[in-house]
Amino acid sequence: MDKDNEIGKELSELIKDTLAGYEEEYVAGAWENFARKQKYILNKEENRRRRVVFMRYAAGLAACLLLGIIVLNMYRKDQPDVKVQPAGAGSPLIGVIDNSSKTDTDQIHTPKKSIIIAQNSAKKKAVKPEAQQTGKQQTIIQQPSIKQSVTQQPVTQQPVTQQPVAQQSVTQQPVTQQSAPGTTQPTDTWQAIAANTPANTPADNADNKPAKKVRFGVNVAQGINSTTTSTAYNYSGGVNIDIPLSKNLALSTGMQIENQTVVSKSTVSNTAIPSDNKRASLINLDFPLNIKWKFLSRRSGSYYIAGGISSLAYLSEKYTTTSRKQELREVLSFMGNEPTRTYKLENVETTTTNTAGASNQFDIAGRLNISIGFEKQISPTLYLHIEPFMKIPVSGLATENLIFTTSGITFKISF
Amino acid sequence: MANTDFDDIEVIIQGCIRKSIKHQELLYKKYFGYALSIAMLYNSQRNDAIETVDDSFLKVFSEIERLDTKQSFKGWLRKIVINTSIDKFRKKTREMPLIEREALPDIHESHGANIEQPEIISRLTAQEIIEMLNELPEVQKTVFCLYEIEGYCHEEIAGQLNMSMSTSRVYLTRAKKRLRELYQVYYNTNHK
Repeated sequence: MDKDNEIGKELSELIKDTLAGYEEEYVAGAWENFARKQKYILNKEENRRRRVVFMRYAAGLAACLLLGIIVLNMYRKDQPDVKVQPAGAGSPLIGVIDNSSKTDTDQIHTPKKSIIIAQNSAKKKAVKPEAQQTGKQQTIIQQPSIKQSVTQQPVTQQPVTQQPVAQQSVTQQPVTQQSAPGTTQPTDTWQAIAANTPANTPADNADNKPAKKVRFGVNVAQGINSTTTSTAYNYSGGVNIDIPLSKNLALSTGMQIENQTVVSKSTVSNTAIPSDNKRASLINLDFPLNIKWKFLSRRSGSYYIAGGISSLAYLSEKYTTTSRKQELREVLSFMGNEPTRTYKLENVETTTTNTAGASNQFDIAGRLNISIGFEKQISPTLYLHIEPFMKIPVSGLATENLIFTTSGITFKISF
Repeated sequence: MANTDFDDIEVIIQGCIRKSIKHQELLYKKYFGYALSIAMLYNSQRNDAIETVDDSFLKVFSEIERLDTKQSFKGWLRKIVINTSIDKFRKKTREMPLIEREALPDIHESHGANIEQPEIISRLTAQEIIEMLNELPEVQKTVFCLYEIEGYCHEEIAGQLNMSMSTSRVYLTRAKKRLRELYQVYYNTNHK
């Protein structure tokens, strides 16, 4: 047993000593393999980083958009639609509650309401005799602090909110402005408010609101892919969604399936110099995210420009590389028993095909989109769009980092 | 000479920090053999060992700016290769349960009954040692190399390989026993 342990110790020492100075030899081609692997991993890492950056930007943009919408909505709720109209020499101004966009309860319980006009017999009893003499309807103007007294008299408020028609007539007839006891507003103040308040017309309101809700559409496009040395046809089709942000601005997205051919030729014309031609056939999905701005609207149609980014997912990639070079070939011939070697220059063409499967590559924000479009209404619900477009690569696309610009024309029907 | 080497490696490392491909190639080619000799101890297959070396160099090139100039590059590389090998070992054991080749064929039986105990340990080449180590089950080989060659303690090995300290001790004892048996076979084959 002791002997075993001794041998074991000696063996361990021997292994340790022998391996301490041991070094393998360099394997030919190891660096080339490593360089390929490193390039692939770096590309992958770069794509991942770009994806993360894009997601962060997209999340930030979405958050800003959401925040903007929330703030806008809050701001709109805070500001009642008050119409201020001159009502004659004796009674210069009158505030009218616009019930068209607000609910009754909103009108009554919102604490920031500055003007409430009541029209009923109960109020008539409360107003001063001068008011009764000068107008058929009476006006009660209350500050926010008087809200409590208003809510304590639901009977007097009900006619205000439930009879919008009667209110309209208020604005059309000369009336007398009258304040509630203790809250008298001088006429000058009203004039000042009127001077600072922009006139809100229905047309103005319509300008700020999006024209319609989300609009869907289908599209087909044909174009060309251009590299620095060659061009090739491409075609695509898909669906699109336009989400209006305001009357003239919309967020345009969707999905397109594209069949693309990219050809890149070597510019070398001398046959003695090796040259390469590469042809890539790609089938990919394109996810655009564009902002569309309608800059001109006419009866005949509308004109708009759009810009944004596209992300691409590849379903199939096929690369055919044709290499041409000249090779010196040895020709062995026999003159009797004497071998004779002659050398002959031959043109050699080699074709290599590489394919990549689905979802092998995903280019986040891989292209910049620019387009100009014309929209025409062809039926009450259908619109025809014609959009010349250009897609510029931000970086190398697909597995083999192709750089090509796509331009063409899209025909779109939206509804 | 040593000074020149040191200067050379300094220049190469500075180039690698600048992401110069040329310097990366120089560093890779200079230390490939060294890294492979370490990786061979933890991988039975040569291709797996080369893969480990490549993974280690990927880490080296991405982290080289963190290398302390006073620190020996060889030592740092050795640590990276061992850690990469341990990571691969852990991944492998996660993917499939650890197959401990407990029922290894009896060496004494397979080589005849009259096995002679060696009196002294004679020289062995590195290649022979690697072949002997490759005869061990992977877990035993890893524990043996970490303990005997790298100087790890059982606590560290247990932590690295996700096992208890007693298990690590058991594997080391078995590895040593097995190596003794293998050495006896080697002795009897070469000294008779």
